[in-house]
Amino acid sequence: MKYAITGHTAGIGRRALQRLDALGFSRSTGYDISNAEDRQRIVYESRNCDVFINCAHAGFASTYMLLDIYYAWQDLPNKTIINVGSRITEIELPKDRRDLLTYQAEKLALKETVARINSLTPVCSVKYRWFAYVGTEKILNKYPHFKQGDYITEDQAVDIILS
Amino acid sequence: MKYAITGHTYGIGQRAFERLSPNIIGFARSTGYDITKEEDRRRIVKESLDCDVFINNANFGFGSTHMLIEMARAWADLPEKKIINVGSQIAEVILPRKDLFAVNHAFHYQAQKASLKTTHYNLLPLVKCQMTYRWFNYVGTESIIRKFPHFTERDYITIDAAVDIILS
Repeated sequence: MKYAITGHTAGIGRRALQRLDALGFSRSTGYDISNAEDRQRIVYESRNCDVFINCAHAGFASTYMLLDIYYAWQDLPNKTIINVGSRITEIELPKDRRDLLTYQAEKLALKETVARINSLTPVCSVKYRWFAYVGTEKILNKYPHFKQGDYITEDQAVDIILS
Repeated sequence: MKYAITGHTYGIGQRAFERLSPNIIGFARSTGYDITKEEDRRRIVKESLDCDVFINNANFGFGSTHMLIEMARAWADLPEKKIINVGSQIAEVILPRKDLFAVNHAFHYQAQKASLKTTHYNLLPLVKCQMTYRWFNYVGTESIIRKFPHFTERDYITIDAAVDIILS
């Protein structure tokens, strides 16, 4: 099984790349998913992969990434697109967390696009996987008070993505 | 009543701007305000502060979702202010599997408008300002009539009818 993954140079994406036979695409290696031409290169270079993990988050660009890879793969059986979401799409934000509205809107756009694609019964398989906090370097630096029960490990996140 | 509107240089926005003049200010890419740019949105928010109604009309990528969130943050505690979001029927339908997609990236447009709609309804319980979400199907703007030359009058509503829906 051959994988392609966006955002493979940090956190969950990096862990997934270590565990899988995978091609990686990230801004630091010259692939910016906010750029339509870069997305086209990603789609082209992923053509021989079986699974595409839409992991990188850059504003609303992961929704564009999904639509572009879906357009290429929609009629191909045995191909799977896995979208990495967040628990933020599953909850109502408290009034004092208006700072998270943009992130929620971005992840919701991804989730709802997956739902709309699946209502079309595509030939390829399209999934949305989510979790709350993951113990990446970035999260642990941001929330130094976190204890082990406050987050799942990167490996557990990768397990959920691949489930 | 003082209004602000994005995308006021053509189509529906232009008509709304004409009808509400002189009590309206407009922001468009062609006048130096690009809603996909954070610093431009910040200027729009700042320059609209003394308006009563903000019409979030321009559609450019996911910029209108950002625009809504930032305007709602600025007006969150002001119950006398109102934000009107201009949506589209495309957020209400299931697109056919293929044809439209290839032709004009209808799925991109759908994702953008659906995001605006979802964000509108998510924001409602979080803010005190008034907010409405208005949508319609095809409007007889120049660009639509040029794009679909086979359209008859029954296939679209007039620009004025669209403005009436927005202001309702």
